[in-house]
Amino acid sequence: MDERKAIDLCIIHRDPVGFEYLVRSFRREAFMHAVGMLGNEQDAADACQDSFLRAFSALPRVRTMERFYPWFYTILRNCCLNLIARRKTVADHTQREQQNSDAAQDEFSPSVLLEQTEEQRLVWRTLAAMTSADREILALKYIEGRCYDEIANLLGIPRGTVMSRLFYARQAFRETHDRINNAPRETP
Amino acid sequence: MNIDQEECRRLITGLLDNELTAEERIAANECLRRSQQCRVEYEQLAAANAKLSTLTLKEPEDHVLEQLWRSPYHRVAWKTGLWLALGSTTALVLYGVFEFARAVLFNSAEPVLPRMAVAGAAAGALLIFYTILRERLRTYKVDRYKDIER
Repeated sequence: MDERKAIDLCIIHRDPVGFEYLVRSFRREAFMHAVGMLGNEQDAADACQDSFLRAFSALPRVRTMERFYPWFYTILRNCCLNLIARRKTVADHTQREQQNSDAAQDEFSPSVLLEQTEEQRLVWRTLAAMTSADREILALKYIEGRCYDEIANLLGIPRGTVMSRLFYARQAFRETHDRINNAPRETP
Repeated sequence: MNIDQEECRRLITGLLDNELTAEERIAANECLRRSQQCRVEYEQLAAANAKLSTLTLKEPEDHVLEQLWRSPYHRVAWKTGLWLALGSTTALVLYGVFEFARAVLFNSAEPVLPRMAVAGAAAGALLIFYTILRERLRTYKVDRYKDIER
């Protein structure tokens, strides 16, 4: 089976076997993206489960589909943003003394990093403290290793806008990295 | 060639990622040659790029990936079961109320006092239910803590 056949099975024949094939094909990249956005495996798994369930429920209403992942990505993205918004509301209401960005860093577990070096932890903390929009484009570029055309296709924006957003996301990364790196360390 | 600052920023980003066409590459190099600010920003981008390129996440384990779709099946089954159970129970309760009303309230053979008492009790229960529901809905609208999972 290939992607085209699986999509046809889902849309034309309403056969769940097609959807299972699509899930198997794209679950890894969906999960990796969700980890990049949410910072830990548990939330990423929740977001992916929710997204696949929503996609499965929405498929009967879809008339045509060229590629599965760009369509699914919109659902996954919304699920991740909803989770982030919920976290922010919780942080606001519990009136932590920390800033929201510090609260977000709590959710970013370094256990998902392949190498546990100090520099990698710092990069991970920096990503945690950035806005969702900046983190999203950096995750697509660095965690998933996508090229500009793929990013433009997934986000539904022109290639020039991808370049612009990457420029500003990297600038924001540099500033946040310096701020965190120069912040006084907490002593236990 | 006259390129504005925003275009320069796009071009040097593309140059760093090796994503430019030959023509765009020439324009990007021209930007770098002409503008000191562009060169500074390019250096900054390159430094950020070097740090971000080191980031590698662990590959997810197979059992984690397997759960991503197995669980939704469970969720669908759970939701379907819940709605079936709730719907059937509601239908049963409504049927019971209807039968009770027909047998007692609207049965002229029954004495008037018990019929009025039952009607009063039912009206009282409905009134309490309505009041609680209205209060809950009003509170929910302005509840600052409704998004917090307990």
